[in-house]
Amino acid sequence: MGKFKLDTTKLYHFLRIVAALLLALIFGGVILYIAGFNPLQAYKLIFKGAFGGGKAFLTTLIYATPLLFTGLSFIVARHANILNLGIEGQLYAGAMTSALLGAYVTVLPKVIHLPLVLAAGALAGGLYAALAAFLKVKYGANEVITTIMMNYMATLFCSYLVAYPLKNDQGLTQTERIAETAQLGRLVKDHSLSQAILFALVLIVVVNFVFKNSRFGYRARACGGNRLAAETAGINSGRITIQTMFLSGAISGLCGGLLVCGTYFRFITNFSSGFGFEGVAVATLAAFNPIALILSGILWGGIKSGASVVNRIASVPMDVISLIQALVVILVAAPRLMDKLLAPLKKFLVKGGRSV
Amino acid sequence: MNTIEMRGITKRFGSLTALDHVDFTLQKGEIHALLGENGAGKTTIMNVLYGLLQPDEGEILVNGRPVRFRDSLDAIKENIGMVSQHFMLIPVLSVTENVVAGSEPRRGLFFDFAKAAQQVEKLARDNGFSLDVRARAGDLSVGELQRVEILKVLYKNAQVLIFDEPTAVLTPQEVDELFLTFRRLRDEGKSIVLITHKLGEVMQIADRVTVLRDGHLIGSVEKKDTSIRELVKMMVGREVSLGARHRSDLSGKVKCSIRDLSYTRGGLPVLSDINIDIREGEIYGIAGIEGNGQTELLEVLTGLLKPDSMTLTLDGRQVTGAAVDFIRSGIGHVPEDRLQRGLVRNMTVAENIILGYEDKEDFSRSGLLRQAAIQAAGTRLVDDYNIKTPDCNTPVSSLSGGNQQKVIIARVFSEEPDFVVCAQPTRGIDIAASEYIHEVMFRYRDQGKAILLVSADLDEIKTMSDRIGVLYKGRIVDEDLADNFDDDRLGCRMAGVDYVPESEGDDDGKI
Repeated sequence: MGKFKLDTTKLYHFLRIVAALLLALIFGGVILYIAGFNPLQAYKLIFKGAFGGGKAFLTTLIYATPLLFTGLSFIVARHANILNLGIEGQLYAGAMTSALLGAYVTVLPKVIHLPLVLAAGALAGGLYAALAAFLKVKYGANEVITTIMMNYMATLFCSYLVAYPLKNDQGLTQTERIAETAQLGRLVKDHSLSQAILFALVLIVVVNFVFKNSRFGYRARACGGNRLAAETAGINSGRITIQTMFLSGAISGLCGGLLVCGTYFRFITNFSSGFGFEGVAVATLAAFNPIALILSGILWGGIKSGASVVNRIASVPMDVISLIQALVVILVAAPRLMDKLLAPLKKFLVKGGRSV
Repeated sequence: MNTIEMRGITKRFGSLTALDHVDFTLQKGEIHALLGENGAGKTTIMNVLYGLLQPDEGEILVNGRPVRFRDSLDAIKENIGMVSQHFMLIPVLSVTENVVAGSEPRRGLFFDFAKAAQQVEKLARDNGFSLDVRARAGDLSVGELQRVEILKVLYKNAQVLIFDEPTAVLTPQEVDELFLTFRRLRDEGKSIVLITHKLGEVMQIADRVTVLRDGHLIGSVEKKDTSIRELVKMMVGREVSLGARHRSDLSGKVKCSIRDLSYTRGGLPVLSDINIDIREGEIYGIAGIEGNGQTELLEVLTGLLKPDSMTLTLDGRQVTGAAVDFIRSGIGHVPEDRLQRGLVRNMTVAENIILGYEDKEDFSRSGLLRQAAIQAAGTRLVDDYNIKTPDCNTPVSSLSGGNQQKVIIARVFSEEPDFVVCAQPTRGIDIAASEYIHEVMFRYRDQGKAILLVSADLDEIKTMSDRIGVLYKGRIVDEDLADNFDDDRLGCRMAGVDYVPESEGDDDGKI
């Protein structure tokens, strides 16, 4: 639309996040130093491990893929001012559903089987999240509590399934390998990165469009911004809440399905190393903007990927890296702290001096 | 010597200068009105005097002695007290406990309630307040609560009492009593600052008037040397037409009919047997003290609340269902609290303008918003309704209260509903914006539409309405042409007291 005017407020918000990252790196450096490592050396290794070359970058994308989904899932719910902390559980519901349909339905051709398996995973995750939303709308159950508790229900139930009824012949706690017809291909030759990342990117663009330009997205944002005003305007906020949570959970469930179909080819206990809560972190880092999520997801994936390299080569414990990640989230989530540190910059860029 | 002298007070919030080198003096034994529109800086300068805000520049002298207040405790030590607009009482505690909180009499380590009650009782008696000092604050009426607030300040031995819009929540009779108290306190040698934007009050009670506009001191005048017209000019910066507008002749046919409206909550009646007919080209005003069922009436008439019984017809068609059905049937709604129910703060002006109408063919088609059309409508209405904003893509939160209200007015009236439920349309906004909104309402009425006006501002009810119904404890206890109501009758009815006219006619000359 020919809008070339630079929005300095938005620029400031971006710089504020960059500054939070840098500050976290400085703190992290001090910690690394105290732990007896050379921080610069460690950071260099992390960076090289994450982004130094095509192969490293593809590995980073492997780490980033689930985070793009779970981050998006969190952002979707947050548009309607719902905190979906049950992403992990929805992920498990989706993964288990896909794993079962992938392993035990064997008569379908690939063009039907794979989409069916993925759709079922999304549906399972969506329904599981919608249940929490239903409890909120109908009985006033706080979704923060219900979703967290439902994480336990889902993960433990799945653990039970693979430990008892579905226990396989070698005694491993995992389901049977899914059929060939349910498997998702690789993105490039000679690298295990699956095509799931394409789903993530398409989904991000679609979700961004939906929330900006659809009537449903508009209503969800209205409910998120001011539920009472939305209801006064005749919007059925209960229905919007359930629909939004379904969408959020479906994204998590699809993620579970894609990890099963593209990476593990079966359900494995503890396959998720906390992707759900990491999604919250990545979404926060992206300031809940779907497009910025692509950057923050890849950055986060890079840190994880680089960390495993630096752990291998220089035996820097992963815990220290996790600590730095935690610092990043805390600093990004504390905008007023950063405002204080960046006061002169803010004055320069943000008109009106109001808190933003 | 002045009791209080404030010199060159400047207070900035970010890039906004709320007070720009403002001087203010207060003498012993005077009632001093601080007059200005919302946002003029009246409350800000008094917050500075009460130590709640620290000025960026300027100095304060108490009895000629320079002082610096770090917080309100410092101000209280200098015998300055403030009764704020929103009462700060603890409902579960007794009147006595509320009054003495912060400087309780003790016996040993323990709170000496008996002594406290005695002190508060004496204080109340000395000031002519009849008040049960053992009653729970939560059980008191608004007028009584205000008396408790006054006692709180007097108990701390205040010589300077600041009142922030004290009459906003009172019936006319309660206002009269409050003003009696003011005079008595003044005659005892205390000084009173009355923050207000109501000119009638100023002329009635003040000895001296200081007018602020946009954070600047416009001037201080003796009441006896000034007039309402001059004060308005000082306040607004230009001449404003005040007073009478033509009334509707009520010749139209009934547009909106409310029959047998009753609503109970938890077994208690909230609204009982309400029957109102509103004609084409009529503004029907609901007068009443807040909390007598207004909120519920609004919610029932806009479909937000299901009553136990009601037959609502619009042009003979019955309206039923949920809020969305009421909107589609042609009932517009200006909610009583624009930030609570009216606007989504973090959305843009354009997005707020379509709220509730996003379903319309103009704004969305097959589930997708028609962004270009929404932009066009936003731009047009910003222009049509004089909304001061850089463009319609600005977040509505960055607009002033008056302009936020205009966004709601634009949204509702541009859709041309048959009947508008209009609540507190000008609460807390500046005179120019209020005037404009009133004009919109009058124009709308004259097009033959019907408006139900609910407002806590009695002046607004009186000037805007063609007929007035008085709501008391959920019933319409009195209904008549607006011109047949005077303050006395309104006040009695609002307080639930029978009205006996003292003499017929001769009640002109009121503002």
